[in-house]
Amino acid sequence: MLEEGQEGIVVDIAPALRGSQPKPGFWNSFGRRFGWGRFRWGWRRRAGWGAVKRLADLGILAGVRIRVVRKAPFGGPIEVEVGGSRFMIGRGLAERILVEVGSRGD
Amino acid sequence: MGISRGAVEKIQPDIRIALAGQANVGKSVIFNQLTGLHQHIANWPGTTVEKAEGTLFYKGFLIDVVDLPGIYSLTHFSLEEKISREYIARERPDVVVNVVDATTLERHLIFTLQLLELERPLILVLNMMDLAEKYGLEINAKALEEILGVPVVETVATRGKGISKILDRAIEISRGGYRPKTLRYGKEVEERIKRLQSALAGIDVSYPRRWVAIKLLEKDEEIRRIVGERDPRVLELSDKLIRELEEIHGHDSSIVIAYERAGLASQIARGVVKLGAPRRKSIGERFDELATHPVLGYLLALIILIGIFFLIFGFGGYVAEFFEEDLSDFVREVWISSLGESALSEVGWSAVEGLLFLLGLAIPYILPLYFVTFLLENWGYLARISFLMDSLMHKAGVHGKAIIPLILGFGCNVPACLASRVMDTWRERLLTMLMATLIPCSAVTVVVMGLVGRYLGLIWVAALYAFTLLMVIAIGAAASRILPGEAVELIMEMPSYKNPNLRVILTMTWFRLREYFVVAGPLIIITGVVIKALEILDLLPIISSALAPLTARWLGLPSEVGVILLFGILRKELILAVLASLMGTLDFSEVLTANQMITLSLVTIFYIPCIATISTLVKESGLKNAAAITAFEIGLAILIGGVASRLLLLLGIA
Repeated sequence: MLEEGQEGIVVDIAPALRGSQPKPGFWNSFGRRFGWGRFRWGWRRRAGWGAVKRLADLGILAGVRIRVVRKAPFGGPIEVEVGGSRFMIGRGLAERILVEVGSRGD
Repeated sequence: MGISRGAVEKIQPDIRIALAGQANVGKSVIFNQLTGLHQHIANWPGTTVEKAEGTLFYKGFLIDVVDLPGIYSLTHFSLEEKISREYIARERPDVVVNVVDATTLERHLIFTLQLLELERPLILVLNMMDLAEKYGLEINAKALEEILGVPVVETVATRGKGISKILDRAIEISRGGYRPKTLRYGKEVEERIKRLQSALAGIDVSYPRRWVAIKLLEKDEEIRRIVGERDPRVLELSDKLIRELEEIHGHDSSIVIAYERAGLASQIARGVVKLGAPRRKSIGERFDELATHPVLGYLLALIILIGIFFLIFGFGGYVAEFFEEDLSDFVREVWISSLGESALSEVGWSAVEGLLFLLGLAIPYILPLYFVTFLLENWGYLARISFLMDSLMHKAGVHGKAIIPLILGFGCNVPACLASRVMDTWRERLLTMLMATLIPCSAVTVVVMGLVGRYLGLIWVAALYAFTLLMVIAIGAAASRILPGEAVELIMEMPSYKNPNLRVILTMTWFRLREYFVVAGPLIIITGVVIKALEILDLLPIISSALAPLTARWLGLPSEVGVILLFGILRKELILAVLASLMGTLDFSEVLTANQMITLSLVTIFYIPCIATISTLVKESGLKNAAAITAFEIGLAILIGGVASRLLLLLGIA
């Protein structure tokens, strides 16, 4: 993660992993056969693109220059600057923004 | 400016304008400049999202203006977004006015492109042109007009510059013959849009077909449902196309489209904006270093929050006293001398008392509350508090801004519920309101101090409060897990500081105060009258004995408490007064044991919010949610009271 005042180019933003989905497999097909349609056995992580989409709508996406303005205390959100606008982004999400460190303040 | 206003609401307007734009672009300033005092604040049908509407006369046209909620996108993410896109697509306003911040044109263009897809006549308003000039930005409005095919108007809304030009252009394009350009995406996406569009040709959807095709590729659930009902084969085709897109790009198709749009916006912006000298560190930025400082920032926040607290409850206390004592005594004398003392006049008097109570609530407390929160929001400081408090408030399942309503809750739950408006999503608003109504307000404090504080000592009061706050956090955390919808990750704009526009803030305050009267007033007055009638008809003992199993058996309290709690619904301060008059003594240690005092205090803290709070909840969250919160809190109070009474017995406190 970038330090305060550092900037770089966004390379990628990883989607969140969320929720379990029934995994195809013996116990699940077994469950389904007996009408337990919602029977969940095992986990398969599904990608959540919602936050990535919301960031893109704000102009925070791969290829743009991003600067970390400051970080909130106690593991709070990160303030970033993109294209002259400033946003605060929750730390969990901010950590999924992959940045290539560029030159400082050009 | 040549604008005259009129509140003629029955007549069909000549032109209907919808204001759309992101938060912090000065949209509400423009709305207030346009409509002045001819506004009508209500909720969007079936929701509690605020709808501001106003009318004006301009050059012989009656123009109706609707201020759509401030949103960042037109997806299906939040209720505000859904409302906005449904309004534009189905109600089909004659002109959509898209207000953008000229200093950050590129990012706002992403939203503009989404609006263009809805194919309504559009005007692009570049607001804050003064700031753009200060930052050395040159925007070629003519070129932008060419590219987008829509009129572009430059404004400085805070100084009223360019406002009449918006109206001129609106009249012009509402006469028809207007056609915005269709902006094309990259080849891979565009091809698939075309294929879906032609597949949609035979289907009747009430939206533009190209827009539906794009939304299908974005996997918009609502549109998928609508199309699926009409022709499932189109859905199959779109699934196939989505898979193709995802294989090419390796991203979710909604991201592919979002990136295409952002790319297009960036390309347009680069063509029309010329960057000047880089901006210097502004005063706002220096202040920000203080406002978000790990130590000084919290100190400043504390000072401001305490300041607000004392402003509202200090100032409010004086004014409320006037309404409830001096004015009330005076009106009471007039009432008695003109109507005499009879059962009927007593019932009538309770209605007057309710009205005075409402005034005593609205003018000293709610008015300054609205004013201060609008001021802080308009100025931009609320976002900083959110930034600092976020990790703290996260433990209770909400974002940082919730600290404001929660602190106000210690004074009175009513402004606390109203202040929950600062929360961004509906889910968080509800959570904050639930927690705020559990915070012991000043009236509850009077009861707790008068019973536990006076007879058992302050240590017990502190223990009760610590327990209550833990419960509030625990309930918040639990409810945030139970409530549908996931806790969204914080993505919030950090607006630059602006000089608060007093006129706008005052108009906003006034119209919301007026709406408060309309919604909360009847409920408060009717409840007062009903309880008075019960008293006069001598039905109170019956209620007491009906509640006895609960109050006497489960809670171990004197059976008269049933009536006392009933009066507490009106106002919790009444609990001590009614207790004294029913028990016939002011020394409560004669009639209540230590155990009973603590139990009664706990029940007072948690049970039913008072009627003023309930009516505020109805206004802010709808009848169903208000009923659910009230029922939950009654259950909680009964549970906690009963368990506490037994636990205390085990500890040897009888």
